[in-house]
Amino acid sequence: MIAPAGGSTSRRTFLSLLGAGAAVATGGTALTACSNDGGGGSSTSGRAETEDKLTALLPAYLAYEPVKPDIPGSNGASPGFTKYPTELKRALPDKPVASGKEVSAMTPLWGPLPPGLGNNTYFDANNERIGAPVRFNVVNGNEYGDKLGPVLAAGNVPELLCVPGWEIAGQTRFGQAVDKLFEDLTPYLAGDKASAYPMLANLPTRAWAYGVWNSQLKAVPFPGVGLPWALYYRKDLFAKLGAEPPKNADEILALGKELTDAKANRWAFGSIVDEMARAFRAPAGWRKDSSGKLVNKIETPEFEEAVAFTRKLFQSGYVHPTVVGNASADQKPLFEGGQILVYQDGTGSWAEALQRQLPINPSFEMQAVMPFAHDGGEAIVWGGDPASIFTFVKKGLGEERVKELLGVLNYTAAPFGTEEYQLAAYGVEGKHYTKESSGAPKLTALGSKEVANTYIFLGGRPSAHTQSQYPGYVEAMSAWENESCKRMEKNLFEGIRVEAPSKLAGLNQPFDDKLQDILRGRRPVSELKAAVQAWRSGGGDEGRDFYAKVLSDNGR
Amino acid sequence: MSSQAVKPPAGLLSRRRHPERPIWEEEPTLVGRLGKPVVLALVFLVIAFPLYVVVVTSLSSTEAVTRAGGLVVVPRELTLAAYVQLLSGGVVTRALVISTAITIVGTAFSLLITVLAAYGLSRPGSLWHRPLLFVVLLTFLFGPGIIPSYLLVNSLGLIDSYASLILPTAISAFNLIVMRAFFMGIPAELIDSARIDGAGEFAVLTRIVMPLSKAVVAVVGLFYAVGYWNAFFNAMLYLNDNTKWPLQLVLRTYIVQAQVLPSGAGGVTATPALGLAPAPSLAIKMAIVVLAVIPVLLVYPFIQKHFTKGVIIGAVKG
Repeated sequence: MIAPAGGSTSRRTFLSLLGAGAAVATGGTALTACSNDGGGGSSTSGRAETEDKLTALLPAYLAYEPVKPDIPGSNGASPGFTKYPTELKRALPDKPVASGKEVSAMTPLWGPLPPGLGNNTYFDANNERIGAPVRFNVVNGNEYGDKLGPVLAAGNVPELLCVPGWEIAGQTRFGQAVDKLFEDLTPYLAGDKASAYPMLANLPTRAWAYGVWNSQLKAVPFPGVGLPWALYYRKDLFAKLGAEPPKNADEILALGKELTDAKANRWAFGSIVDEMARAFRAPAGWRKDSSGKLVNKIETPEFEEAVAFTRKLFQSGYVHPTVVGNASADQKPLFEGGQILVYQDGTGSWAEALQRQLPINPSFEMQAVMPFAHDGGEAIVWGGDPASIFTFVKKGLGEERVKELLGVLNYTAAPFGTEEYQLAAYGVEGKHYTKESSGAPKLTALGSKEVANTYIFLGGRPSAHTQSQYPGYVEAMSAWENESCKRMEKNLFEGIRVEAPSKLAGLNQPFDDKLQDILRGRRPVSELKAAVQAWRSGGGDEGRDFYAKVLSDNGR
Repeated sequence: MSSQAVKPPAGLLSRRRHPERPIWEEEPTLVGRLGKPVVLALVFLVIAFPLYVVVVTSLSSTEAVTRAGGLVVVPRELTLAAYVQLLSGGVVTRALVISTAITIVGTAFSLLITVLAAYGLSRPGSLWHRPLLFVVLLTFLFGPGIIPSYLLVNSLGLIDSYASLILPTAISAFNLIVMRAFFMGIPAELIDSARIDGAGEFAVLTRIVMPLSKAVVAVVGLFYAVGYWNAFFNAMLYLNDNTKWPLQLVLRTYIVQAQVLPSGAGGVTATPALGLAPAPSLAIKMAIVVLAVIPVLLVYPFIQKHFTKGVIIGAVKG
């Protein structure tokens, strides 16, 4: 599967693209971003790597399909599996770590801490297949960046280090750290050499391109489709109230009126401002105007219209008061409890909500709204990077050890339908999980205690929709994702991993604070222009130059 | 201030039964008598209601939480499931023991060096006491930053040791200053007379100063203990071995459970293997709040009597 490279997507990503600081970009064929510390006083230079110039570095793609998908993914969408395979394929015949020497690894974890090595049979079962104990240092995902900085600064890295892409912008001189601390994987994986690691060779080439730093293949990518969120609605409650999902902005307004009933403790919307900006066809990040000048999303008239429209929803009282009061309120319980009927959330939250709600409310049904444009015309969809998490191998361990460690990553890259994936994701059948009638794994009490997303965050595997235990979910998700990927906007920076200067991350909060105030009527809508101006003078214009240089260096 | 200094207006004076008394010694009026309990009840509710909601939610089933759309106010279908999930498995209970030990050892160690440092700095003639005091006060203004602290702890070889949770935060400039101010308020005559009786510095500290300073030691000890109990950030930074994590850090893993990642994650979820983590329940989060608060609530009443006394004495005496 080849994932598409979309534009920068999220508020966080998009704002991290608001560049200031040193003007740096790819340098011709060498691709190495050259730092220019005098450029803007930033301690960290930005950089960019271009996929089309990297072919010689990247592993040759070797497809591996243990199970044939029922719904193929097109345009980079994930394939869908509408049933669980009755038989799992063994992907790797041998144990990857022949020496048996303990492997150290650091990964983020969003979940309860499992019992440690020696007290955890799930770890034991995986380590048995790997051939050596993997000692995880898991860190709360939300504080991962706080730990990453000191660990990189001290050079105190484990053998395998997982680095989420969204933490990179906050790290000082990450490019230098990569050079100094991590092994160049090019000699092990470039071209046909990757065939020694068939699961790694099965990762999309587009994702691999994002694992290149300083003209060297440095990291194993965790591929993603790149869709940052979906607009969800409660189909069960819509049916009860006789409503239909919206197809344009007018219908959004009409839905607001129809669905909101404060006395019944029901509001039409939660947070939907990004979705509205998309519907009004604002770009995800940058676009070129007719003169060829780069224009940021927030400078476009479409964004302005979207803000004015969303503000109308707030002022008409169609947005849940909790969301009005707190822009970062947890909306899941409100949506699942029926107090909010439409809101945007990450693509993973769909299946998670079904997992939570179906056992206690069998009639619970949510769906993603198909992408629509404000005027009912052709909709665009924002896309993201084809890889968002990276795993690095510590430098200087010697060839044999690096091969063993790549073997571990080869193990964790095994896709859905393999014994290795099942073991890494759920543990041992009959012990850590049992199979439901649908074939879906269900954790036992021991599984709930011991199984944690540890091996899963090492490396990555091609994404897939597999949760067929929720009736209709895989079909609906695949339909939505195929439609969204088809409509993904053409990204100026497609195939270029742009690493914005670290100073830029700080530009987002002041603008977002003002934006949230404008939406809620605490500031007049006319202040949007002033906020954009403040953003430009605070570093936005410098960011424009940075990105313009990235484009011109790549001949675009 | 004498009662004569504040003369109430004549009109008011005539309505008072005891005009010779200052106004705050007068019997309260009917409105005052009725108003006071009402105001106090309101204040009580403002404090107790959120706590009540937290406890009730922690005891609620997932259905009840969903029906309430979040926090539960009216208790229905009470269950201990959240606590059972938290406390089974041994990870939380182990962390509880670690946290308790760190709190006890850390508080004792911090108190010891704070008392010694405060006493030394409270004696005007002691060696270098001015430059040392200046350095202590400087830490009020400038923190070391995460990376320099980590580099120091790393180069001291303390990574992955419990000492890394105690040594870097062993002394707080604020607590040191409070204690020093208290020590300076102890009459010099007492200390002089002890000296005449032949007491050295150590005897003066242990036999004269400390017995007079129980209140401030209790208060500063409480500050330290609560600080150690609540600390999680240093443990996150310095401990690579997850089995050494203290309670707060372990409890935090439940809070961030199955959270949607930043959208830069491009659709990768916090639980890539679905069906894996049990749904993150608000009940569990609230049970965590209860677990984390209980020890502090248990300790407070015993130290409370010293609390105002210690702080006020430290602040104004002298």
